[in-house]
Amino acid sequence: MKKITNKFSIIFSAVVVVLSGCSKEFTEKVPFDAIPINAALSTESGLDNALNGNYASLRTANLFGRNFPVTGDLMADNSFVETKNSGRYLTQYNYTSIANDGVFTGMWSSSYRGIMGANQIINATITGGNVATIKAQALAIRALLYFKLINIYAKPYTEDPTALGVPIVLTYDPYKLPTRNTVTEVYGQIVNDLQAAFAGAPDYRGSVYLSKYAIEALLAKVYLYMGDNLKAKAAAKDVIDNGGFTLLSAADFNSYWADPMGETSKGETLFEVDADVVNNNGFDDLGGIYINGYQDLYASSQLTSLYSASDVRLNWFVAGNTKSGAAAKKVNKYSNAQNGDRDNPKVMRLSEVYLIAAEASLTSSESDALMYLNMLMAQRDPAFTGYTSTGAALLADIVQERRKELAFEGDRLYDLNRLKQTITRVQNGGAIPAGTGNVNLTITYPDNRRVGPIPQNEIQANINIASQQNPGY
Amino acid sequence: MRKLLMVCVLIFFCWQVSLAQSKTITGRVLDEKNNPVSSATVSAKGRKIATSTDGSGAFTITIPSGVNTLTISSVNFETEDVNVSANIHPLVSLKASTHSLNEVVVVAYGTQKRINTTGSIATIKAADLENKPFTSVDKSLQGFVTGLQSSSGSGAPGSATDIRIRGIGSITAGNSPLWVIDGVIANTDDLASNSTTTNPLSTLNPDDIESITVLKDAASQSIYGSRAANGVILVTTKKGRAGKTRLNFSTEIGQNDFAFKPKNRAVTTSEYQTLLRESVINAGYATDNTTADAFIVDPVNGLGLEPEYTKTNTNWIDAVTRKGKQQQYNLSMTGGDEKTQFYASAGYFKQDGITLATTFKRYNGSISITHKLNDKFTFATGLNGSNSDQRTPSNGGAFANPALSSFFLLPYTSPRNADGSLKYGDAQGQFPIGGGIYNPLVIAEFNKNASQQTSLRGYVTGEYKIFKDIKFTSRYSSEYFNLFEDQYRNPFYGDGQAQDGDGFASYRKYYNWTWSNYFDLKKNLNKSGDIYFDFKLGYEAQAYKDYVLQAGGQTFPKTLDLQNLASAATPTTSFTLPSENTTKSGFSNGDINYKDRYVLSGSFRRDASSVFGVNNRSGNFYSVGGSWNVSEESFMKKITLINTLKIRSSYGTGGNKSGFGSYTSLPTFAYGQNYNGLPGSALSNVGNPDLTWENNANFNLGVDISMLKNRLNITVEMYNRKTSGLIVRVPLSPTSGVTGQNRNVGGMTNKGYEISVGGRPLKTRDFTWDLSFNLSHNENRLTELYLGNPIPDPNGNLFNYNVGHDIYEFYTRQWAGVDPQNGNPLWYTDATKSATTSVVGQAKLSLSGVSALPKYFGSVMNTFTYKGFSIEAQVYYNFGNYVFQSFSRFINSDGALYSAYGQLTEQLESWKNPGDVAATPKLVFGGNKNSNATSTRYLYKGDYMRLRNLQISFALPASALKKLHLLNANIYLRGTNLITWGTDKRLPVDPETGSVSTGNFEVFIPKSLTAGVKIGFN
Repeated sequence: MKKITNKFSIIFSAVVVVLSGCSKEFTEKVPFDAIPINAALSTESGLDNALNGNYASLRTANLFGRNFPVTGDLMADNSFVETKNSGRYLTQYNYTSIANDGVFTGMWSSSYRGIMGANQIINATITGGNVATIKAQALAIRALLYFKLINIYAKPYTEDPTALGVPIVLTYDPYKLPTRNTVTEVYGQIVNDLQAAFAGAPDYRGSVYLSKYAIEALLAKVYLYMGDNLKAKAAAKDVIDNGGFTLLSAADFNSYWADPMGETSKGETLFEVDADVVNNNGFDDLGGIYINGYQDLYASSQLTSLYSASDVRLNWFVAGNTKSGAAAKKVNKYSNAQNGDRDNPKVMRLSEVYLIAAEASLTSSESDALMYLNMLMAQRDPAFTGYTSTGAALLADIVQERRKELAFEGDRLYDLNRLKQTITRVQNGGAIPAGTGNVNLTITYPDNRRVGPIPQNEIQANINIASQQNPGY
Repeated sequence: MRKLLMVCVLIFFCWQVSLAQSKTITGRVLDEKNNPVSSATVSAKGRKIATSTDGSGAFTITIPSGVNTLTISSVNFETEDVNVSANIHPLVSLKASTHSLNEVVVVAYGTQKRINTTGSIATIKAADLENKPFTSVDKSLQGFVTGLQSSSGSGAPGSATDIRIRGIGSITAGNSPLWVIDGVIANTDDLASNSTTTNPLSTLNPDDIESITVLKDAASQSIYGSRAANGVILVTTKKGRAGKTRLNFSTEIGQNDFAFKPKNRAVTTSEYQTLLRESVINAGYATDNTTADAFIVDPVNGLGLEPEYTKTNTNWIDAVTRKGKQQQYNLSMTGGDEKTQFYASAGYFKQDGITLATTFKRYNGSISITHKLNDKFTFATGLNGSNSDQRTPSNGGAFANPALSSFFLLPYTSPRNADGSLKYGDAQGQFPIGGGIYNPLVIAEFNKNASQQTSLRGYVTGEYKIFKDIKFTSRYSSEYFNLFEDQYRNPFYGDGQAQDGDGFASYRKYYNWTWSNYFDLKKNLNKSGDIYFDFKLGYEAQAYKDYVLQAGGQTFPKTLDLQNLASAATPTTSFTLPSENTTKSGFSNGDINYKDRYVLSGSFRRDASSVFGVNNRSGNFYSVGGSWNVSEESFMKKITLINTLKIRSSYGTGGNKSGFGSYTSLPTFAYGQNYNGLPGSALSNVGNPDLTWENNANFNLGVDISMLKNRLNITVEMYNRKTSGLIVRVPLSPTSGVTGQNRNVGGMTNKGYEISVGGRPLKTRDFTWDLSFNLSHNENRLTELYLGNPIPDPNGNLFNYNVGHDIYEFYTRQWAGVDPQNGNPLWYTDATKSATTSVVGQAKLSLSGVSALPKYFGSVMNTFTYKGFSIEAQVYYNFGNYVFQSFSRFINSDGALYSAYGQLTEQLESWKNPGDVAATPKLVFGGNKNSNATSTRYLYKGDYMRLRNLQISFALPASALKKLHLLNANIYLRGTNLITWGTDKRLPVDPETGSVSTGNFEVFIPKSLTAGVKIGFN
């Protein structure tokens, strides 16, 4: 018996020894579906994954997935909200947004989330291999998001380059409380990023990635928005002449818009955001708000009346009724809503590059302007003999063709803003009345409501921006 | 306290004087109901001679002839001294007090005599848990413990229950107490991925539980360190007892029905017709009943109801409910000798809920063995396993929720076609394929919402007496738990129809272990035994590892025979994810007792947990407590009125780390942000290296009094629980790319008092009446939030956390009633209630001044015993809270949703003529100025009293038992939740709606009527 007792003494001593040796690692546990930030960005493949994540961040309904394209048209004159709606985008349509508006809050925070992702890639300390091309794409994503932000939340460059822009954040620091930079500074950052991106970007990876000429096309658009027509024309011309892309023809028009797949060889699309059968916005995709799903938004009769009967772009519209029964044109530009492979929201198409080239040529060569405009028109309205206008009428024709070609791609409001033009809407059948006494049918320029509010959560969390709210909010 | 604490120990014994100056006494220990008390320790007072009773309560002890007093003690029973000198053949009936300071209670890491406790500890005995018609033990706790609120939102068999001890202590982290089952730090969170509700505690058979101890204050709970803040519930399962092998068998069968039938019920078809007519006329579509009737059935310009609609009247509550059957069988066996004791059990439990397609079935078994190798070493092991099967329908706003459909469906629709077949896709537009509230009978018949839980809980303990006074204990205990969920939604009708049927399966398992090692020193510091010292020092490690696998698919064959994912044509989900967390701790506690008069106690624990930030991974927790047993003072000995007077107080700290993820503190990049079919990553968590537990500083003051020869016992306690470092999501500048970070920045207090009174107003030779009463009051206040900014409730918009207010004060529009002039709805414009408006947009959301948390709750218990008969009645009460019924706005809609959804009878009492003072606004088809917008109009008083338990039982007398060769036999009839009183007359649902008093159309809470038999034999 004594012996047994000793044995137990030994066992218990051993237990105590084992426990006291219980290591520090025992209480250090890491997740199985995530890795530390440093580990994620320390290899080329890790950086490549982060770039995919950065592209994917553009897909959210807050950005190109829905809010960007929808608000750009709805706050201008291309679409309307019907009376029997799901409550979405009412404040944008009625110009009643306040600082805690969900759409403006979402566009702001998701844009900066994308910028954070780009910053983390750009600032990664590794080099070699394909790192430079990965970083170039991140630079282009950052520039693209700043370009959207500066247009939504600040006065146009063409009105006041010294006005307050948006904060330029180039590093990931969750505790930083930045102030707003000026519009000039933000455009400067965008141009720098795009130039650096152009220098390092791959020649072509397919339409769902930002490659060299997509970046140059963005640069052309940025210059156009800055009013720098010479540089805009040069960049657009380079894309058209040397990019190797092909303008979407009238013959291919319908199949192009019906196809939810991205292009893998150079065609019409310079850049679009991929949405597929697995990774998509569910109910909240772009087609869902127009034609298959919530069906809250319809095309304004003012827009649809602009197309001639022979214009292939009329295929974007389906005659029908609003849910409450009024006759209206449904928007079918995004026809693959809610089932299977989804529509990829378009960010930059060659057609737009032609329109940029046309508009940017106005100050230097009206004949070039007509040439680019009519090259596009030949593929949209085969019966049309071509524009011949000059001067202000030609500008008006180009702007109207931009409206017609880029409808529901989210540019209309910002075109009218940079051109300092009045928004003129009509009362559509089945639409909710555009404000008491229809005061929102005409929004002159300038009007505080044409620039979005700095979101309330930013004002609350960031003491340094609290006094920099946009006027009117 | 409880009647079942009230124990009458009867000892029948005879004695023999041995020749060698010693005598052998043979006796038997029984409780008040003639049930034997086994494993009671019988010792000669002042000597080291002891034995224990066997399964029939019998004992034999040989004591020196000079010793005349035996001391009898047992866990859960009061310790009694019995004089054996006076009578040669004594038949002694020992009266036990209803509340005793001498009882032995289970506490953290051991047991303790109540006299030595300085904290707030409540115990519940096996007898109060056995054979109850509840699927899990947490539901049995209602009303038994002061300061412990047990509230079930759902009456679904197997559903989770909210347990809150001394209020709500957290916003972001959990509010549930820590459960420690046989030493394992148990996981009691609902782990369901897709099922409406599951409850890990439902895998434990309440019949296998020996006792439950609830630790409510710092002195008792701080030793659980970073997990102690919400209180601790210790569960001890049954162990073997020495003596002749004894079998216990019990069975109970019964039936379940509605616990609460509201006065404000769904309207019938003819009542609906009245509402439709009135609302159509008020809306200007008709001028009188005749034109209104024409409008109602007009398919072109009117509502298009079927012309014969008044001929159908379906009571949808009856359609979705039934009388649910209930049964359970438990068999246990215990026995052994001095060296080895065992306990084994098997049980079966089945409950059918009163709502269609709700059921719970459990098989379980357990075994435990204690073996004494020698004087120094004791070994014990136990294993408790179960398998349960559960079906629970959808809840809340789901179209497939039967409780919702019982109110929402129109009385003039019918669930079946004329030929009796189930109706869907009806030609008249009833139950269209594409949408609307589904026909609940079809859903119950065609869909499957099943879950299965398998659990194994076990422990291995070794106790080694190193020296006479020092014991070392090593205990490894663990839980293995497996939850399998299986769902199928048919391709014909309902949620699965658009996908041609869909299915979802989830398999989740966790393994959770706790290894505790501690030394226990118990020593009298001086020879006379005046100073008694108890000290523990230990080390504990705990790990939790979780794994989940999920798969989903759609496009099923058009048959109900193939319901598994193997038959789905298109897979939609496949997902696996493990997670784990660990804690290691060093702990110590001690108490010192001087002459049973003064007790001083203290505890300390240091925890390090993997879930905390790297900078704050370890924390220290402590408590100090003291008690003064005033009645032991010489000056009190003269006051015979008071038998016991004890004053105790404690202060200490505890942490709360429950309810937030294992990795919240880590800055991480997560994958799954995939793009173009390739893996993508992005920052997933900003992390916070400083993140740590929420800290709880707990003060407790208690007084225990026993008087009138222990016939009246009173305990009064007051506490102040201050939580600091509340985890709150602090907003960050969105320009950084992240919008918020969890930080320890808030504060909250819970102050309250608890009173329990137990007494025996009447006692004759054969008759006793025991009466007890308890009351708990708690007041919650938020004291600090980040920059003082209110936080909207992340789970809805009913609450808005504001400093200086109760955390669950309702935040909504303030209803001001109906305008007597025109029947329009009126709201106050803001919280000042200085102006009213009938424009909903001008009515601000504001704090309502009323809370979801009850001001008072508790219970009253009466027990009458006459010979073998006893009647027990427990009434549970709950006062001072309000209940929000989120869906009332649809069924009390003043015309807004007429012909869309069923309505409540309250609608019939609407405003009709100028000057009417009505609760319901003028009925206007299409809506009356948004009168049904969410407001305090849909808050109801949450007060209620409920006859929680009524039991009539009969114990066979000893003579009959002897003839039948039984040790004990009881038969009983029990009613649970039989009567509910005192509710708000407008309340359309059961007043018991979970800890945040928000009705969510859950499965109805049942009342049960059961009958049972319990017998024991060798």
